[in-house]
Amino acid sequence: MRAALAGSVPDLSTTTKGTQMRTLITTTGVLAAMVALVSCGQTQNSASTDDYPDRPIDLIIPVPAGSSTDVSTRFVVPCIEEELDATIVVENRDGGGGAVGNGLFAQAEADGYTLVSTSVGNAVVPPIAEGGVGYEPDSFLPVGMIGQAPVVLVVAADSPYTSAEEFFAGAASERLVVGIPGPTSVPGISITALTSTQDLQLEAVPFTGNGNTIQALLGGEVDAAYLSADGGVTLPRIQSGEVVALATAVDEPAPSLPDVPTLVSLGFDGLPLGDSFWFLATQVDTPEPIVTTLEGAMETCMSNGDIQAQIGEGVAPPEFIPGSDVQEMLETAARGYEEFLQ
Amino acid sequence: MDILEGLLHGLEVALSVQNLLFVLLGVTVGMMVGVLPGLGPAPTVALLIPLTFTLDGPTAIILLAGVYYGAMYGGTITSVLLRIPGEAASVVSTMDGHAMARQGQAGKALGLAAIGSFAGGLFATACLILFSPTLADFALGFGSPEYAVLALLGLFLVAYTSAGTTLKSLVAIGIGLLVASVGPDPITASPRWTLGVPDLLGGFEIVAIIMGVFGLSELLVNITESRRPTSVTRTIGRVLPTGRDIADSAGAVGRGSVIGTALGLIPGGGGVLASLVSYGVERRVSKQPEEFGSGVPQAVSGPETANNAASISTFIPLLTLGFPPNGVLAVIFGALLIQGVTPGPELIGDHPDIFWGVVVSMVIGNLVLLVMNIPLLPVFVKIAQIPPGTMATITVAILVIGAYSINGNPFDVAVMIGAGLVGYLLRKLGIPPAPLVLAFILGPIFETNFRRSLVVSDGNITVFASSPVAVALLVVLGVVIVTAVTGRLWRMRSARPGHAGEERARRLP
Repeated sequence: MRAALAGSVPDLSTTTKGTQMRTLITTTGVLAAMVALVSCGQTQNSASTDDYPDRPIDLIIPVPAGSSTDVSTRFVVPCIEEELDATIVVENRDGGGGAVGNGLFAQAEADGYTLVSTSVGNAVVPPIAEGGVGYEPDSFLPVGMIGQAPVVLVVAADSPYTSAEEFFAGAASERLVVGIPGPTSVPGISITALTSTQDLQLEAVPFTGNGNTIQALLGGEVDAAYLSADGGVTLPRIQSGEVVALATAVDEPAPSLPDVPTLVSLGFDGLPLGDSFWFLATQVDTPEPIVTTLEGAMETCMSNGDIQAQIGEGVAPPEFIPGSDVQEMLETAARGYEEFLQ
Repeated sequence: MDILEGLLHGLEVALSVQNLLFVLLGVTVGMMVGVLPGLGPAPTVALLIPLTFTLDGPTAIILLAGVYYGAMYGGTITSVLLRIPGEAASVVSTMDGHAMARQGQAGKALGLAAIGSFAGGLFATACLILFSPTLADFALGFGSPEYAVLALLGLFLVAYTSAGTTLKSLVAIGIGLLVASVGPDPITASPRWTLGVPDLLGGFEIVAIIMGVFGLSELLVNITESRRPTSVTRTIGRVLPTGRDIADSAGAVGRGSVIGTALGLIPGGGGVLASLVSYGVERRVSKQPEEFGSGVPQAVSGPETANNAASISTFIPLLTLGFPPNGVLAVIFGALLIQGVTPGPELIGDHPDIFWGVVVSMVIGNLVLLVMNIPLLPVFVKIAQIPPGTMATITVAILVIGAYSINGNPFDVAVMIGAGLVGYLLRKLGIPPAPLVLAFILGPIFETNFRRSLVVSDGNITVFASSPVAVALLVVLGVVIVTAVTGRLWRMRSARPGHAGEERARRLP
């Protein structure tokens, strides 16, 4: 029904996949009210799980179009559509640090027709920090990892500090200012944990996003930046030598930064998981066969070398990370953040 | 990317079939809204935002920019023929332009205005090309303290230069700042004024606010006080000006180009201010100032050149600093955000398609307007007579659907309607609504950078004078405040009642 309506609207843009998709999203958005009216009369018959999917699937992305979660998800979507033989309607529902989109997802029926692609920060932070957002960190049943970006401490190439040891020795004796990409970002929580458990004179200053934070570092406004090593902003600048990675906040050396020491290896224990990751999820009550179908599609698509390359080397997991593993990481993150968010 | 390389890249973008179509669409729509009294460029651009959701970044901005400068051409037609300003910036052409029309010289007035607009547009585009990359490079070095002072300066300039009195602009700015403070605190992320409403956790949606304040409120004003033409001229006469006419106006066009380009850069500036200043300057340099008002060609060609130049140079602060200087650019700021592009010094480098594509499209668009202007005059005169009610019905539907489709959230429709009612109320009180929207954008830039600077400096206020740029900006800020206050005192002493400004404020963005 929705697809038919959307299809009848002339496509004004060029016929690249991206714009078609965007046309579809907006058209759907515009028509959603109409569709809602039309479908009022029909009662949704409880979908038989055998012929899943037999209608288009909504995929909510709770962040704006163009962000790294959004872009990498859109690389995977066409493949999942092919695997499931279904249309996926991607909808960006941003607002409230992910609270709006994730809330809509959590309140939708657990029938596999409303999925979400969310980052750990958007899944965990709003329910803990704000509460009453319509979902909890355990409202998500992950079906596979899409991308990972470890939190990394970087300094400018001309910084007096050339290693993590020197930097932390410096922070023990003088006030150092560290730029973070946002107050409730994963790096923001991680640095709160670092400063509240260690005797360091680190002052965290929130900027807006990774690009803005790196700019402040390169402009000499802050002594260091603590942000996720995403494929769009941070990794390219580490590779070009503009900034130097001193340490990562993950337990094992990150695939994208194998030679950078971890904070754990430097003796900082008890920190929450400093890993920004994003994943595809359905609701916890989704029937088992549907979850299996979705996870199967994700495994095939995330193992595809082309898709991995599009998402970015080191960002897309080299080996498929199944839902159960993601769930474990999500639970660890939620436990770790809870302590430092309140 | 150097300028030549950039221009070639821009040609490639602007000459694609899709972008050529959209520049054509943009300038045509712009001409039409320019011609339609009441519907100005800001509400139209706000109305078109939903359409841009499905477009590529460059195409979206090419379309919206085309509407803006297209309206500058169109507005002249109604001013000259019907003595109603089709849009605010053409208001001065209702004087000499219409006087010329009544003497059977409508064609000459329109022809000169079109040629002047074209020249002014080209001049401003050249400035945009030459100075923007350098300015953006310079602005890349700005840290939080510089941005804080710059945003504050912007707020004061908006108050000082907007239509209506400074006090009334300040009221609008105050409301804008209050509305902007709803949402997460920029440093601690604690929710402010959200009253437990989840939809408010992220603050108000900027595009919904813009569509309401510019689109809906304008519409309400139009319905409640529809204006009928009082003096219609149907004889257009010879349209192509003679060589002598052009030579007579060359000075006015040259001065108008410079004045318009310069005033477009200032927050609160843009078309209206540019055409008023140009009119004043022409009158001052004229050998027969007493004839102004009775049909002096320079009084049309100068201001019309200036408003078009200004409509293009207003893009410079947006594309280099991320600061929208007026209402229309505030809407384009919102459109860029929707495209996932944050306007700022990184824009030219990160999105060369958008910058260079739009710049080249401006040249194409101005050329199209020049050519289209003259043969289509009779059509535009017809359009000017469409009853406001017909327009209103279509407009409301577009606004509601548009607000809903920003995020697919009915709450944004309510925000749009609320913003529209507030905007209507303000206009009725003679308070210009544009400063509200500009404060809504500049306020958070100021607060975030101000507080960030203080965290970095550990609470030391001298951080705002820690670089030569910051000191220079502080000096300018001081000058603006002193001028505003002393100017105010002087005006109070000479106490001349002027309702013209308030009337303008009500009609204008």
